[in-house]
Amino acid sequence: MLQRKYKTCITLVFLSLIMTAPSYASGATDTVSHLQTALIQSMKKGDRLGYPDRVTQLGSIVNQSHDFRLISKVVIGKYWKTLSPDQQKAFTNMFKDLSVSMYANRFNSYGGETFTIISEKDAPRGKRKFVDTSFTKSDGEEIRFLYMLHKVSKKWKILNITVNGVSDLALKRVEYGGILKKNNGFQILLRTLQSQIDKNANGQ
Amino acid sequence: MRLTQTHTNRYMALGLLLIGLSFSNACSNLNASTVQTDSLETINRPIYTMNDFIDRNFAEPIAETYIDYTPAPVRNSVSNFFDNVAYLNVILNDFLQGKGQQGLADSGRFLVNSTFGLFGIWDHATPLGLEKHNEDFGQTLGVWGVGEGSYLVLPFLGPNTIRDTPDLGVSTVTNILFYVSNPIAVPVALLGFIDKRSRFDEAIKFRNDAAVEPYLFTREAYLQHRKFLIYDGDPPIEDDLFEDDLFPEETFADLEPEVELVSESQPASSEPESQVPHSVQKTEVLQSDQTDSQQDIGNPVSSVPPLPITVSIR
Repeated sequence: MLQRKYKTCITLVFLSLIMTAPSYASGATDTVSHLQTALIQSMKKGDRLGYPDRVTQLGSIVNQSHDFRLISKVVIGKYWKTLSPDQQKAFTNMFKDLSVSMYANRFNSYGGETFTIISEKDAPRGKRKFVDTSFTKSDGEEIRFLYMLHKVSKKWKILNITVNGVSDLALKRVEYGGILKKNNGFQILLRTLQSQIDKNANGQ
Repeated sequence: MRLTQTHTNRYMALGLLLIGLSFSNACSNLNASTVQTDSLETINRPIYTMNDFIDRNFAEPIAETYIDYTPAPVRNSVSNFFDNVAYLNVILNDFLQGKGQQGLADSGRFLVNSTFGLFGIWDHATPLGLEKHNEDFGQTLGVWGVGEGSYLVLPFLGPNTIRDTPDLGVSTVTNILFYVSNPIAVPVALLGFIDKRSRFDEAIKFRNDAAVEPYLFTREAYLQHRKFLIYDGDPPIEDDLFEDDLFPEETFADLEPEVELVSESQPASSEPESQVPHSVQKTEVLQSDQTDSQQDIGNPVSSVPPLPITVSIR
């Protein structure tokens, strides 16, 4: 009887430790880790794969790891509600393609680069997480990538990437806002993004 | 007082040093907080355009030739030398910011590299654990609580702020080369400028690829990076999705993503992942506007900013 109670007690203690232990390697870190693994693989195969194949290989993982619908709203900012649903969809799709093309264009060859997960933190508001990572180039230079993620249907998705302190979201928001406030700004913006995609495809 | 050749050399060297140092300052400080302090934009933009023209037509070709014909180990040694002769500025600002331990370590770094490293050509300090730091007087003023003031684009010198500008003087007078009156000072300073420009060539290309509005891109990246440096690479986490910029009736909750009603067995994405980029498919929105006015802001993609960023993926 005493032995049974003792075993029950140990089991309960063990379970409580598991349940209260911080999930350091949580879904957020997994999302970032999967993306970075895919990027390294793309780099390793970069010499053999052409740009279209890298787009294909990275497209799925990039689309699944980022919340492009919310990112699109944020980078357009106050102009979002001035767009029609078709325009919103067109921009979101264009932005997705641009993101994939950027990854496919930049991560195209391998020289021993590595990604390292440093830490994961809860955001101050508690709804998001930050995953801090380091990208070590072939010459040893380290670049800090800080990912902001939130949960969508039980999946953690990237909202923003800050590289050495430079927020991609903030940059795009200012740039796109500068174009959108012009006459015919939305069409100019779409043409500009398409031009960037074409440049990436041509390796320029 | 008659201007002697020594004075002429010194002033030319000073000019080149200023250009190189500010270039370095601009290049290495491309973070921006979300401060929209660009009250001088009407002046900054033409200067930016001029700098861009000079960079594309003069600095860039020279730097690329240097890269193409100079082996990487030689370029690294050149960079180490110029970093070392300018390192007194880092040490000074370490102490001004109250970073005594770092100041002592950087002093050790300087001494090791200046002696065993043959005036800094070889970096023997880093393997000893004496890591290189990046401090300047603009960062010191930031640490002291001085506001950054207006964003400023200086002719030939690039991005700056009112707060960062005094560093141009401080970093010049703390640079060992400033006190070299030998005629060799001018070509050495010129080499220093080329070295700085070459180090950021890849980053400039990346910025040229990524920017859709290069002036704004450079400004924001510069301001953010300065904040990054002031906090020594560990700025306060900004959990910000720019909610202040919403329409009055919109709340943060409106920014929450639409719930994707998919089963666990299906991919997370709510729409099928097309293998054909959407941009290849002609969207109705884009096609229907082909007859729109062709007036635009001058095709920002073709406007290549001269100033590099520290971000370099490859």
